[in-house]
Amino acid sequence: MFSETFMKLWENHILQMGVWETIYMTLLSTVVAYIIGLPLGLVLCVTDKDGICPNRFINKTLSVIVNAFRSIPFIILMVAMLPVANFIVGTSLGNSAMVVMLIIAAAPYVARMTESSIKEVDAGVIEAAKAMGTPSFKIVTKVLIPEAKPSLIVGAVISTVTILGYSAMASTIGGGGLGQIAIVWGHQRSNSDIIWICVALTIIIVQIIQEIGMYIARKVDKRQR
Amino acid sequence: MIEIKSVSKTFKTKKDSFTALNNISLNIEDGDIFGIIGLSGAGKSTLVRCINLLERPTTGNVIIDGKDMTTLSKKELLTMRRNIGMIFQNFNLFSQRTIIKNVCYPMEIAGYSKADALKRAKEMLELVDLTEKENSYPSQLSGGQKQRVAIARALATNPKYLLCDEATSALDPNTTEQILELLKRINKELGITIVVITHEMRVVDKICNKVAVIDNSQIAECGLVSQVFASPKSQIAKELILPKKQSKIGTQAVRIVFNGESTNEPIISALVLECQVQVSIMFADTKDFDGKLFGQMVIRLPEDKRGADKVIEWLLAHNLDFKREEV
Repeated sequence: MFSETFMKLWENHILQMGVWETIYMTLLSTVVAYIIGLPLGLVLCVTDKDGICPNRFINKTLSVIVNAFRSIPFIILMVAMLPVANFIVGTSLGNSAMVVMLIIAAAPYVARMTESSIKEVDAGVIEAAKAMGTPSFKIVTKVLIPEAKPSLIVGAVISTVTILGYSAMASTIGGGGLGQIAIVWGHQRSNSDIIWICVALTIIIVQIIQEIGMYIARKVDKRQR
Repeated sequence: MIEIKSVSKTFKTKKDSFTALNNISLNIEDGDIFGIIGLSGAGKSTLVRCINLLERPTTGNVIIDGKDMTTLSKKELLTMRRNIGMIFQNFNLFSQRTIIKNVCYPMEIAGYSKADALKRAKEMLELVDLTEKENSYPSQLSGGQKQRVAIARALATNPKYLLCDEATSALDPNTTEQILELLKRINKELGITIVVITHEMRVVDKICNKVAVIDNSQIAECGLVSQVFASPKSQIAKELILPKKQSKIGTQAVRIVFNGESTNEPIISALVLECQVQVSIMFADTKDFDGKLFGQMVIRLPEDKRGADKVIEWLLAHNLDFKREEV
């Protein structure tokens, strides 16, 4: 019964489509969320009162904005941001609209992840860089980011997995992917087999992302022998 | 020349303030190895950071080669810092860069071409005797090696000054010795003026020519090491210098090494009886394996030269492995 359902979905290319949509939404949103979130996290770190260019005003303002977005549950944020998606991509339905939503939800998350990674960089190393006459901008590019790289990669893995989870939720209001298959084909038609197939596939995707990410993080970290 | 002119530094917290430096004035001449010694919390680390303005003095001026550091623009200050190397207690190497890339870093910042930086970095690694480690990462090095890399890095841009903030405090005595030797050599051969912050008397004793003793955010005493050590005037200097120094003054000694060749005969009593002198044992660590003696012993020689010569002759006559030394 279980394998029959699986074969049926597979032969009709439904599963392949679902997996592809999930991966596509997740990766695209992660990349764009990083393009926005990484600089945001760096600014948060640099302007902190113990940072290299303390600036209370910028730090507080950004911090409040980031916290506001972080504290809204994703499902509510999604509904609230539908008009924004409509404004940016011209529709509030479908995968492109969902990607916009995911980015809005993920960018503040990424900012906080980045901030915590950068804050792990040894203050002594930053002091040494200052003592060697490094301008502030170069401290960011030549010291903070390279020194935090392994931690940033671990953060990226965690963020990607979180965004993958968000992407499944997005299918409740019109997104595609495995989430949609589970809800529309599984939940709404009371077919638990389909739900479990989606669960299994999601676990596999997460495992693959996790393993690849952690492998890279270990590979680039020169702190262990 | 580094002139520190009535520098004070106060750290303000929300409720109260804390004075780390209170009206400190010092002159560090070119070619000096200048020791700044004090107990932890005395303010010496803050003082050294006021020299390259990692900490900005609350009042007072720091004048280096005629330039007042406190009035420089941001850009001028960065350029100036390239002329002042600094090494730290925790080495502070870039953990994700190889050794050679660590040494290249200050030159990248100063705008050297890649080829020039690499060439100079190799020279520097040669100077600190770590050529074979150039492609290793800091985590693969011992503490002493890390500090040598830090020294190579600090000297890469050819600075005139080198600030050492507790540079040997995380190292064992042997490694400390090596690093101090290296610093001494750098001072002599490259003519670099060195400022040494430490809480260890022996560091000052070993390499510095001048010393300032800091206590309670103020300078308690300052002068030539030979003078301050011979007759410390302030209470804190006496505390720091005298207890370890008292037993040492002008003592001639010999270190006898037992390597299993001599049997377990009573050497010291034989020596005393036959030479008719008095000696005292300052240190002994010997073990008896199968009736053979292994280990070392340090004995103090008699004050008068004739007595001392007698002991040396006796030791020679008895084929003992020994070394004269001053303790």
